[in-house]
Amino acid sequence: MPKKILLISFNWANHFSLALGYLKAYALKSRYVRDNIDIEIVDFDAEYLDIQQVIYYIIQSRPQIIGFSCYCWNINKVLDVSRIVKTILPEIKIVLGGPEVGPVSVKYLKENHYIDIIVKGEGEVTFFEIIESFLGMGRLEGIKGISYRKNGNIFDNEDREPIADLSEIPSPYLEGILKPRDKVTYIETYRGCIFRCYYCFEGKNLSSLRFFPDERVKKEIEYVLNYPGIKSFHFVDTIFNLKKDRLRWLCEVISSANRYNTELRTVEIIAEFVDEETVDLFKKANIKSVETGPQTVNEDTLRNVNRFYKEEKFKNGVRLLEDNGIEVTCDLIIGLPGDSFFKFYKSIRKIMDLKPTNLVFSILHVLPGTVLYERSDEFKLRFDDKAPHLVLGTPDFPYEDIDKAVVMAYSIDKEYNI
Amino acid sequence: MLRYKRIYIGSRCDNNCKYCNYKVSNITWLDTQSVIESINERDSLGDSVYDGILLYGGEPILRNDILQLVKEARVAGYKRVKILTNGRLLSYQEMVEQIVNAGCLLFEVKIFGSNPDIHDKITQVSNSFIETVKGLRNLCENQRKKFVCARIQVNRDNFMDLENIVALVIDMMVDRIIISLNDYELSLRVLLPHIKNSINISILNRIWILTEGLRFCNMGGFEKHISELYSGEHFNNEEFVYAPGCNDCVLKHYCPGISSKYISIYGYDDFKAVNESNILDDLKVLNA
Repeated sequence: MPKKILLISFNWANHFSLALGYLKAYALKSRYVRDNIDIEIVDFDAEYLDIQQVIYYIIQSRPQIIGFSCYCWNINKVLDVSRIVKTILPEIKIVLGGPEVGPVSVKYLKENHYIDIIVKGEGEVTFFEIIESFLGMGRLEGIKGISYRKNGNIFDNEDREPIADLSEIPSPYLEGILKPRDKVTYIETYRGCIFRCYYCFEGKNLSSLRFFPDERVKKEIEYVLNYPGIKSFHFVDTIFNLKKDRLRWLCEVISSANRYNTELRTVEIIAEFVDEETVDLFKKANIKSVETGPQTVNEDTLRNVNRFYKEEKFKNGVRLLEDNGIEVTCDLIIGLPGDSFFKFYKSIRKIMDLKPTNLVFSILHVLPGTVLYERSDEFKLRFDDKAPHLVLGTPDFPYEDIDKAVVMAYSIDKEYNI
Repeated sequence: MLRYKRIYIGSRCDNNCKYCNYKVSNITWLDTQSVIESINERDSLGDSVYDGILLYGGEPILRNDILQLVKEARVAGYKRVKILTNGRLLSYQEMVEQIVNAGCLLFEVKIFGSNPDIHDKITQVSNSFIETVKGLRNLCENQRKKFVCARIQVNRDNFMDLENIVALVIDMMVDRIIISLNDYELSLRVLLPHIKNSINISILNRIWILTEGLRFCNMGGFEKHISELYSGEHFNNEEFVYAPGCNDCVLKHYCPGISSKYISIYGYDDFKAVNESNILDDLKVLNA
């Protein structure tokens, strides 16, 4: 009887985990794994599902290993479930991975005795090797990119380099592991980011760009676009309009495969890179909405967080998109170091003057693995070290002002995004 | 805050409020065509400075052509059409539906008291409180995405009830509260504790709150709630002057002055120059 692995994610708004799809797709490359392990991906609703339901499902499934995909928004549920499951079934191995735990793996192991292994960084190869060790084909000591508990002690193995050639990872869509669903299907064409924003872990930890093979991306796009019931989908790429030549190719692929007028929504772009040709390409690809920064418009703050922003080009990009019927959502962050209550409001006013379709506010999360997290003392950043790691104050933006800014932003959000 | 192009629609109103800024002897409507022309008028700054349009008066919803005006504003390209209203006609659910369906999704509802005794005394219309509250509730409970602001006009007849009014509208889950001072014969010394309590109650309940007609020197520690700071506009039909001490105030540049009527009653004692302000640098940034 094959052994059982449950890969679990708690997601918002009916999304499903692409990351877990990659883990399974990579692991199933091995015939031995295919023959001996049953890997099941389970996506639970982070908002409405009671953890008792999750625990019931796990107990019924009787897995030998549970892998959780961890983000700042779901880690508390993951820890609750793990703790209870481990108490009921101590023999189950609890493996955590994802950006919330990877950069601070030892800390999580120390604070949570029921966690067995934490994967640091990209998980595909590492998780496969964990499965191999579970099948007696290796030892945890030899696996790069993990921290783990053994005989009551915590060990932190050396980090693993990101996978150089992404073609090694099979497509979870084309392998039939993930089924596209309307509005929540993401395609990833590359990993990494050209920018190094200090509040984000993408650029810092995955600095060099690595692309999935063109042919595979093309097949994924064709597969998703022709999948029944898909009216809109997304790309998870950090910057969709990264390079003009690639954008031309990508939009041509989407356009050619798009037989049912499927829409592409909420792709992340850099507004400064948008010109007339970009807009034409977006329209060709039936892109209906894009999301962009600038997070703040204040020069000192931009410098503090190493954020790229060119006011005139940004303005021009937003105008070009809006004038051509492509909805633009602009993002602003509350609590960045260097901002104050009124500087934050100045950002709001400046961006409202550009008249984007939507304005989205978020409070700064000082995430593990980011420069802000590691250099928080230097920035005199106070934040909650427990997820979701909300900022609690900076020298220019004390807690009381951040709190008021949040209340103000919520009200402006309701008024502007009507 | 958002900037609205203000369209005056005439002075007719079904309330008869004491302290009303717009009450005039000859009660009239502007004709439909004039209002439409105002909506479509391009001003010298260009309409791009505005985030929306505000229909005010008088009571806009009394107009037979209100749905047409809302639609005209939408056709003119205004995504956000806001109506400043006493809310009484919104006590009819069908009216809420019609206005929302016409494209008006933002409302600023004037309320004067937390009970009929105070509210109706100020509006001078019996039963107006019940209708206004029902109108507010109808708006807030309507399932469509919309924005509802409660505008509390504060004066000597209701200032002691201010915290109760704030609590009442918080209970309805409005999206913003504005406390507007429109009675310059009311002593600031007695008013300000109620203002500050109200701000604290509102923020505690996670609802953004602004004041109108109050100055920096009155609002120490609560400056972030001064509406004029964001809008740069002063709508009261009052004559403003500066106190002798205002010349020493570091924030004078950002202050329109003090009501001359108030000075004639209470003198300058309630206005002290701000010698040092930690928000001065921020204000410079805001107005740069």
